[in-house]
Amino acid sequence: MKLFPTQEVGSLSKAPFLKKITEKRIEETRRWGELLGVEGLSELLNLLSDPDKAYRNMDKLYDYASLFAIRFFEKAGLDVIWDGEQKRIEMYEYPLNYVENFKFLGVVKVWDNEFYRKGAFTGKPKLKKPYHLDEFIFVKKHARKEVKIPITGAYTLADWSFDEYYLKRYLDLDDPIKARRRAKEDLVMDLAKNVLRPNLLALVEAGAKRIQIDEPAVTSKTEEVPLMVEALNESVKGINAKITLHVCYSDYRMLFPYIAEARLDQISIECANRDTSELGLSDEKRKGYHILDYFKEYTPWLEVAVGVIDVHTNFIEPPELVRDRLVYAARRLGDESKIVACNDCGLRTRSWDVAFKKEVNLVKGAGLAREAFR
Amino acid sequence: MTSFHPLLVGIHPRSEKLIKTFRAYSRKKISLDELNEVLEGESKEIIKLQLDLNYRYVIDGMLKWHDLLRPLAEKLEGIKIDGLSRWFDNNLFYKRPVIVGEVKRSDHILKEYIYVDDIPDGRFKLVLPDPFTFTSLSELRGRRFDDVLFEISRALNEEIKGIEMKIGLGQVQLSAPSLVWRKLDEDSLEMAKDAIDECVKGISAEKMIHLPFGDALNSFPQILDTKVNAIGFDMTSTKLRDLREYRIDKGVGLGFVDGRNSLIEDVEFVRRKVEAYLEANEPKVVYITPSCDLEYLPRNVADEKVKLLKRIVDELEGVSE
Repeated sequence: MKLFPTQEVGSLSKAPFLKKITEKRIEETRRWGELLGVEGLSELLNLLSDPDKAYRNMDKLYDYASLFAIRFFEKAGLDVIWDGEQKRIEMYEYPLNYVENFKFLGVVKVWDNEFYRKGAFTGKPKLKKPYHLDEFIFVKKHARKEVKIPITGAYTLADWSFDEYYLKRYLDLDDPIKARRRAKEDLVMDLAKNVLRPNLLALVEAGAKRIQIDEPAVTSKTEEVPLMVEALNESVKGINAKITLHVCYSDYRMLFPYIAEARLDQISIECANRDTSELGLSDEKRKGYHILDYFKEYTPWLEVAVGVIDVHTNFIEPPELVRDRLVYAARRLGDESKIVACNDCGLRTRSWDVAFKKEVNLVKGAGLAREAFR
Repeated sequence: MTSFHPLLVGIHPRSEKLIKTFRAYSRKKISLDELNEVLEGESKEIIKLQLDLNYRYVIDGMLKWHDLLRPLAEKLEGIKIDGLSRWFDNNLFYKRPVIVGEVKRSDHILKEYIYVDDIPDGRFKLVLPDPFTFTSLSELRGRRFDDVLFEISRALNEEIKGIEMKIGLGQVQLSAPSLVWRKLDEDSLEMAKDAIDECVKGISAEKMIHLPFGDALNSFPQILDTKVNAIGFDMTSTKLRDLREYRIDKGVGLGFVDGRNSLIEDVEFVRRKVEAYLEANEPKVVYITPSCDLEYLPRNVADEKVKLLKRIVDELEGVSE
């Protein structure tokens, strides 16, 4: 088995032609298309030469965007890829468009002047039709590497939403915290059973072999980590695929010991963001990877996809830094066969130029780490 | 005889129009004057909404505040602003203040942040973070917690006095989630109480502490001894049965209306809860409040909750007549 396989986490900023079409963006499209060897490039450029016609064919543009992103990760040399979520708006609003008994209410703040469109559950959630399915079929058809599809987990969908249905069941309880907790448990588990699981089943039937469940909300409420684990287990019940859980920018200690009960094959975590950028294998220089002690103690069977690329800076990690991070992580975990080389999170906030250099060095660094263990 | 009043307790959500205006400003597509014009218009709307509903004290919406700590972090000497941190257990983030020197107030902090033109004399409500919460959520860079705490308290006191003198104040509220979020030890609560007292020293306006996101009992009994006129409770995080056990010789704010959920509460349901509280206590003033700021809701839902608070008061007054 290959040591330190490489994979991405999900998003990539949108392909140049998905933004307003300008001469500059057409040139950028040509440059990337040629570099990545994207098939059908001349047809795309022809379409872009008439922006009005192009805008009338957005489905086609989205297909091309997906193809560009697939080739982007393949060209960089990653082992496991996705299409950079080119067809998704974001991770919350998109799936909930496919859920019955949910209504969007308006925008709410995340920080400063960043907002997201938030909605409420008004009844038991039910899947209207599987989402991400067409997207998966397209990627599977065109990808030359192994594919991993990301999907937002039940806990996060619930945590980021209002509840206008379940809470009513418990309003008579004397303890308002218990009332909210019970309502949340009901909502999360219904989402797992009625939305996530049927959706995952549809993806597996279509050929999905690797599924990444994203749960960014899980560590916002320590006491609800067991609920996330229960929901994850319900979501993947009967699902024959390799399951990854992605959690980022969190105090990972909160996951323990509960995460040991999760039916998982792999966990993907952000580490580079909290590490130093100096080379070396000392504890001080590799402070972003100390958390692996917990995985060693509680979940030694789990693969850990450690973030060795910081997605929030334009600093291009040299391959030697990637190598040192991986080697240190492997030593700290005590099992190099369980370490996967990964980004901290999706690359959506980086330009394609920066992202590509980072991914190329991710692959080179993993190669150097392999040599260190040879 | 208890009197009832609807009351808001913090930042109101921005409308989609205002969000777009802020974006245009940050992309340098419009000027500061143009941004301020929209801010002023929206503040007027929020003020009018409360005045039309006969709110006793009126907030301006705090629409310019990116987070509760930001004006202080930006304007006080000795503080810089760092990256994002989670605001308690919410899907909302604030920029963490970093204490880099002695904290001092050398100029007005809130001059650019408040809008009071349309608020009648004596009815403006000012909301600030309590000093303990501000200090707890800051990175201290080696400074002693109590030193920073009292420097913040003194700076806030100067600011409140300045606003009271120049603009006029009806009520000043210190929002203190850190006092209830987790159970603090007795020494910390004593220190928090002293800091609050320092903060409101010499202020004539009504003084209120608000305790969102946690069980009010986490701050008892020390918080009950603070020199304030009213204490507001998050009743979505505090058991009514427990709160009833305490004799509180101040006005109370009862936050049964959830500021973090869009479900519009049943008026009768809230009335019953308030009456259950009044069976055991007889405060002179009861403020019917949301559990916390309404900024966790879309603007239209938040406005609906502003009206709901008044409907609850009407119901209570009808019953008490």
